[in-house]
Amino acid sequence: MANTQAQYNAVPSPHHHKRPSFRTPHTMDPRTWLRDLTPYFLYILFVATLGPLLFGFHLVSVPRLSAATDTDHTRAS
Amino acid sequence: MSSTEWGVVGSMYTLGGLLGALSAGPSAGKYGRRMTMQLTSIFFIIGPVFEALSPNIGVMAFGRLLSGIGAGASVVVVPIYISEIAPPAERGFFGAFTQIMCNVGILVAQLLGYFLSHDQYWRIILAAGGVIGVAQSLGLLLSAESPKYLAEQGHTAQAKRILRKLRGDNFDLDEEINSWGSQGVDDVSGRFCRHMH
Repeated sequence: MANTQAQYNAVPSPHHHKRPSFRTPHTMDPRTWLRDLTPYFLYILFVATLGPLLFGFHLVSVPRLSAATDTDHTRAS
Repeated sequence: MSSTEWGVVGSMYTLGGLLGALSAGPSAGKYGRRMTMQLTSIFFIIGPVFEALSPNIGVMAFGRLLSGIGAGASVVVVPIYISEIAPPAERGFFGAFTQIMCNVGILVAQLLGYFLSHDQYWRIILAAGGVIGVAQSLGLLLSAESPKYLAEQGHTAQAKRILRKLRGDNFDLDEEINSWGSQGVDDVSGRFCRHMH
């Protein structure tokens, strides 16, 4: 925690204690991109994106079944 | 089933997607992003119930229609929600997660289909979609409404409290909160236009 605070202070900023959140990209180093994210944000992100996940799931599940039954049909005949 | 019947079952999903996508925007504006996502998760639960237990093609098609409504609505409302809860500087990065999870869903369905595509096991594949829907529905109980939406509705104090919870203690929230008032309405209308394309 202390180390993280030291990193904030190392960044030149008009806000000496807190990193401004608005349109201030972190750095080009991908390892720093996740440092400010709270577990709660990641939880909400995951739960919300289950919706698009199900979009993709239902998009292929029935066509996949269609292909499977076609194969069975070919095998039976 | 004949290829025509498969075609009907398949296209009902697209029809539901159209209905869901068209109604998600107004719903997200009127009832909020969180409530709209909860509605989509109800469709995601009830649709697979009809699909997995379907005795005939009519019931199967109806289940697909319900799943389609949930899917179409969620691909509209979730990007709006993410763009409002994500840190402004990383909005684009987290916006990509909609597409990433869509591909994960395709992968999961293909994997289940690979292992379970014989006898009556297809019902389990379809039921798995419903299980994910239940998980989302329960998960959303602990989620929060978009702080930007709350601020637009006049619930500023609640919006600030949720934003603090989302961002943690090390963020200066003032700039982000101030930006809502100045560009809120224009931003939302612009975003809807982009989703219509």
